[in-house]
Amino acid sequence: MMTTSSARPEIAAIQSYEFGQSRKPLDAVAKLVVGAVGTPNQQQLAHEMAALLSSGATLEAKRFACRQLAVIATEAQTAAIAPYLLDEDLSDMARYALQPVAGDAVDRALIDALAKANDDQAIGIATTLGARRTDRAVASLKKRAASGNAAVARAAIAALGRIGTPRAARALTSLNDHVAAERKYDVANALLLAASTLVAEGKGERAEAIYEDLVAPEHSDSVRKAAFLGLVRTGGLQDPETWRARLDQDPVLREAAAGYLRHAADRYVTLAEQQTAR
Amino acid sequence: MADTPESTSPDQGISRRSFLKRSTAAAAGAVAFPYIIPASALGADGHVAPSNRIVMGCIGVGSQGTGNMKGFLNFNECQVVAVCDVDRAHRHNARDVVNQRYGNNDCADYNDFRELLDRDDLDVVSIAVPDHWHAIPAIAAAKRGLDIYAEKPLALTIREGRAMVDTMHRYGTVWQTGSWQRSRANFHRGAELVRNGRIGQVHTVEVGLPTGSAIEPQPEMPIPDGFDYDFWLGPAPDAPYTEKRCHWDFRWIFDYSGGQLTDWAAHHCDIANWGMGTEYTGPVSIKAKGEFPEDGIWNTAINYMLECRFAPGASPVAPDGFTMLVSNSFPMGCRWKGTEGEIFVDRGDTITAEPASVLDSVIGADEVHLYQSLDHAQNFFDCVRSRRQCVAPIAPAHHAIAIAHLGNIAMRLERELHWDPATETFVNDPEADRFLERAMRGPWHLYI
Repeated sequence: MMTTSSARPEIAAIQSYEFGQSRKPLDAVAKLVVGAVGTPNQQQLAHEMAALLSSGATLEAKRFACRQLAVIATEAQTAAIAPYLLDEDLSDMARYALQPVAGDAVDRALIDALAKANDDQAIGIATTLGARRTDRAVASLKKRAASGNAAVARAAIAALGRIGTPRAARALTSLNDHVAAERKYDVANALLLAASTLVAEGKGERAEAIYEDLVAPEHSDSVRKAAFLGLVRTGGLQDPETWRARLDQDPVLREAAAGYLRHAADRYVTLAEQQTAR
Repeated sequence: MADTPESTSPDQGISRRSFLKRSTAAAAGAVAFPYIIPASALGADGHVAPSNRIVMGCIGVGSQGTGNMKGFLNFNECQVVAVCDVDRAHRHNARDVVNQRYGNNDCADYNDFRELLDRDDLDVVSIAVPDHWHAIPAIAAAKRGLDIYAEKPLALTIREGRAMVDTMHRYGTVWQTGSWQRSRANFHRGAELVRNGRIGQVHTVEVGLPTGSAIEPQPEMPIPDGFDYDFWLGPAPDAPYTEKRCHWDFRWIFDYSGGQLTDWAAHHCDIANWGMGTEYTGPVSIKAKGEFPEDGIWNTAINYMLECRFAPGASPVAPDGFTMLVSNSFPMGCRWKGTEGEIFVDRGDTITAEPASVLDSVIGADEVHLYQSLDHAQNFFDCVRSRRQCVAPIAPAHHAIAIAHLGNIAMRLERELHWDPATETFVNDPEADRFLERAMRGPWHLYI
């Protein structure tokens, strides 16, 4: 079996690890990793853990390495980890390693991988870009959002919602003209998610425009109610006489309004409100 | 911090007038919101007119989920129409229980919760799945406009919990956490006495939880017939099947849960927060020490001690701040210690105090009256109809379990952590922030 050039006995000891064996060698490495975080040893140890991925180590050992890389890797390990985003066995764990690592290099690697990934891998990569809120990935995600594979499209749409920047919101809005009818429900929910982020980040005006669109009768009841609640919370109910008449004719929005009044739970609930309350 | 609407009785703790005033203030610059609501939307008694039976689907019907479901079946106002579980034996058993209760064969059963959620006849769902699965079906159900009764601990990670709280807020979901101790008189009484200063200024809260366990390395085993193991793993990393990974024992593995610490913090830390009025905030520093299994697949703490410091002002009864100690070295339950005495509560209707006379104290009309529920399930059904807040809403569940998650992260990193409860990030500590969320295995993601 090919091994890494690491001189560390602890790392050498895990290369043949298989499930069912004693976990003690893994714990020894995990202890090294935690001890190295924030020290001058971090880079070298991260390099050695990343090198395991291209070694002859067992799949179990490589998965374990990815878990440790999630703790210790920096941008400097991106090039060593990124190829495994497209690996049949390790794509998910490569994301596990990279998702928490800050830096443009990681974002670029994920965007590059998304362009080349098969459908299964694309779902995960899109999700990770969403979790990282990678605004520069919006165009790539928008392409995937129009995929004929429903799961890929939904993951990309959800990722755009989670990114929640004005650019992501615009991409979602424009998607309505390009996606299949059954995806419009997903786009609407992603827009609601994006709108809540926009509100939290002081872009309430943009959010209000989204809510105004989503209260329209062509959307599902749950989307319409959520959009109405969004308008209430952002102070977007302009022109009271019009709204009064509208609610009078619209049982869905009326139910949302009545529920809001009774649901005494509107303080210190969202992160934005917590921060405002400080 | 001022008292919060969620922690007071909707009937006693907040007047309709004051709530309307606040709603209006929240919509600053806009119209007076209540003005636009036609009177027809509000019943004469202030309650929405009750519909007929509340139609329920049950997602996750293992031992806990089936226990919950049997409780719901006792309510004539609830009708269970569908069950879902990735273990065929569990879901068939649950289906049979439902059919026997109703004397028919109408209960549908599903392997995939998405198919259950696609039904158009549901009002609510009960969710009792392993912790690593809590967020996904809950968020999916809320998007479909369903109200939710869900098991604790709220979420696998702090970010998943935050996503769940924000989602329920966004969709106006009525949510009841399975932290049923809030519906027991002794816990309510203890928390209410503390909140009203009957033991003076609180300096310490001791939360006693169970001790963890270890098990030797386990062999890979054949997946049992009828168990959709890949679905069970869901968003967690791929791993070989072995019996002691799944069902009840998932709790002792970090990929799926956080050990006895998270399992029980969702009860007793929740009660501790309820008494302290810290249900919507968190500690600012966390020290933690733990002893972990030396081998085997269970890897959560066996013994643990968390020291969580809450800032001055976080609690109305601890102006100088207070310390919450969470450990398996204390007796099970919650003990608040103040300048003028202490109160201890635990299951079995236990409530004791020093001095004992504290227990005779009467809470005055102008004091804080905590939300009172006499039955956890009944409270949920009542709130589904009234659209009011349940006794165990989602945000306090998030803040209670965050204490345990923070402790696990501090134990893992073996150092003191500083936390900003307002932003829910560590203070200048990106290494610790990495533990706030984990990448999900495809094809799963939070907003399916």
